Amino acid sequence: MKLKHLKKTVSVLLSAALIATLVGCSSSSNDGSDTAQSEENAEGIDMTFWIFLDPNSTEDPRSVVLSEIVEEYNETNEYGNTVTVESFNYSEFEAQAIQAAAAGTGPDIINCFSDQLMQHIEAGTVQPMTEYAADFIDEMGDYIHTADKLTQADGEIYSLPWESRVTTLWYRSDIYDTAPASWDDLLTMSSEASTDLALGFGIGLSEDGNGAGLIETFIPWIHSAGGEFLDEDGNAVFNSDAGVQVVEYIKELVDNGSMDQTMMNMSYDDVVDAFKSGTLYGVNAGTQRAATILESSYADSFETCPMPGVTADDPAPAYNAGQTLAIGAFAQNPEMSMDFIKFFLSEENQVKWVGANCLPVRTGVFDYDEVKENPMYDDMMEWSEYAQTGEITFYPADYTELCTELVGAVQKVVYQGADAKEELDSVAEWYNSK
Amino acid sequence: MNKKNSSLGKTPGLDFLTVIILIGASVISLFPVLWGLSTALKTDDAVTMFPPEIIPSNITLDNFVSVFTKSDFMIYMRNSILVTLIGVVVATVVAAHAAYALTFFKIRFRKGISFFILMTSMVPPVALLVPLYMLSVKLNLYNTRILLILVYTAWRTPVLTWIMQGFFEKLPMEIVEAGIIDGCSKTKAFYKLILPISQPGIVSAALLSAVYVWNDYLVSSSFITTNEKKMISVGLYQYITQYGIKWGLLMAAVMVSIIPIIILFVCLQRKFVDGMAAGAVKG
Repeated sequence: MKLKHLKKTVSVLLSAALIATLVGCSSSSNDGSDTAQSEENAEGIDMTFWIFLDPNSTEDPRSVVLSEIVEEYNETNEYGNTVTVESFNYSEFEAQAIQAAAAGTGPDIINCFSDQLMQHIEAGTVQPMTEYAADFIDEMGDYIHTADKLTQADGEIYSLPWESRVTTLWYRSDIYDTAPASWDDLLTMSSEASTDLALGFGIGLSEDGNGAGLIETFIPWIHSAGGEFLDEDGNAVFNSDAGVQVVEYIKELVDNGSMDQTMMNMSYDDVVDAFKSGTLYGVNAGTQRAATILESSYADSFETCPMPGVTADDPAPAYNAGQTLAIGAFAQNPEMSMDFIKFFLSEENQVKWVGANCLPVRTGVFDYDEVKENPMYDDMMEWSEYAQTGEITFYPADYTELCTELVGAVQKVVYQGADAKEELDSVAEWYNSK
Repeated sequence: MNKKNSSLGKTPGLDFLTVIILIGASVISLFPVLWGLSTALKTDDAVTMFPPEIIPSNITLDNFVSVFTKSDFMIYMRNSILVTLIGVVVATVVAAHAAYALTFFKIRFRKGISFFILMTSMVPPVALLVPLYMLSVKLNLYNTRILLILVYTAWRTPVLTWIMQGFFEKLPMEIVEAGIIDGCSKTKAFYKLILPISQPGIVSAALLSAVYVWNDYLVSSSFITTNEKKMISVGLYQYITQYGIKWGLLMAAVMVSIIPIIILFVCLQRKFVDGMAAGAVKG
């Protein structure tokens, strides 16, 4: 009898523990600290900020800067607002934001990569900020983007870039005598540099990562050859003579031994890793990768230069992109969201971003002593100067789908001997008839 | 099995061959894990060095130290352990009762019900994400660990029920009948007779579910945005960044993240093998 009683008691206790755990799990989302905070700042609002950086990581300098900026805003803003960062991996960022918007929710402030901004606009994850942004751009004075350039087809500004990145040629100065200045230079120097163990040059021709390995090279090169990727109406026009010239040049790089078949399976990340490991002597990669690239044991021999163009006189126009900040479609108070964005873009905070090896969007920061002391100062100046040869471009919402198709077409030309014009025509027709 | 009657026991040559094949299979299976461990013990520049070093010449624990001290890795681990443990325990308890009822009770349309239960687990998880997302927002459960527990429990219960039903069907009905003759109720027969002898089957099914929940990325990434509630499968992605993949840190985190599952398998190895073998041999 006693045993039975004991069992019952144990069962009840276990059940109670289970229920308590479950209740604890659910209630932790709305714990006492939040309530206490909102009571303290009765006049301000609690805003959420979605970004791909993890503010709790102390390992990544960019995360540390993000954390500092948010902390400072929370302590100093005149309205008593608080911002809470919610972090997602960059590969799932768009999906999460779109899913949330479909459910009628989302953050107050959202980070959008420039290439994906149109996707956000179409999915309704962001709202126009023109009324605040246009004046703010003028106020800044040293912002590298103009209100015109950031205005979308509907006449609205949706986001403000807070960091810049430009694709440059990274090469090994111990292998290449000089920086390749033209396509011919690159072809000759890279084919001569190739050995049994390493290739002179590499472009990630895999469809992985939305084909970014190819696209970030293809677009500047087609511009260099006098063509366009998309026209003003968003129609594919890369099937021009210039487009054919680019694809045939990539084929020539393979035929001459600068690259080989392994490139077909390599993504953007893979070619950067191969460059770091010394199995590739040259790659086109974004400046945002600098900190990672310079971890390599070959870092002392790494140099960058503008991407070579068709002729030696003109480098390929820069491929510019960057992270931008937008006001979430479901922001509680757009004005307050903008207040945080303005703070984020202040010159002082731009200086902090430079310290984390991010290329700034305000040229005034280059005059700061602490920026001049940065070991990458000269490189940053050089990249910043090169970036002025191109413009940030906001590609259509189905841009990634197009990129993947284009990679497939280039693979067929380079590795299966298909006709470049026919393949590009086929992708362009498919895209334009969508 | 009587060793004398075993074909392996009779043929020494085959024994040797078997051992060689097993060693080969073990090396192939373990190589990715060992390679991961080797990467975790390398410095940043050694990770991408070519030719690569299988045993690092300069072994460092920096990656492990960074994982533990410079990120929220332990929070992710705690969340994963909590969600996996509660989710699998609840799913197993519910499934065991359901499987018992479907196996030993005379229920109308029993086969139909069994098939219907199995069908529910055939719906691709991705198809349920958006409705579940909206439901969770409306119920104010979004961004809570209890939501993860509910979703995992609901997703694993049908499969567990089906697996356990398979195990229970192999048990002789006479055991229950004998128990009832001796004065057991059907419920008591379940706890006193069926559960003890079905332990290998239940443990195997629960273990496979635990691995599923532990490794799942889709659900845990879709319903949680706050860092404090993320699971380890999502947390690992912090090392795959826009600025490049931090291989050393990633591998260190992966090595630590597989430890709980390894411990679980080691502790329950005997029952797991028995359970798998019970499913493999008929009669």
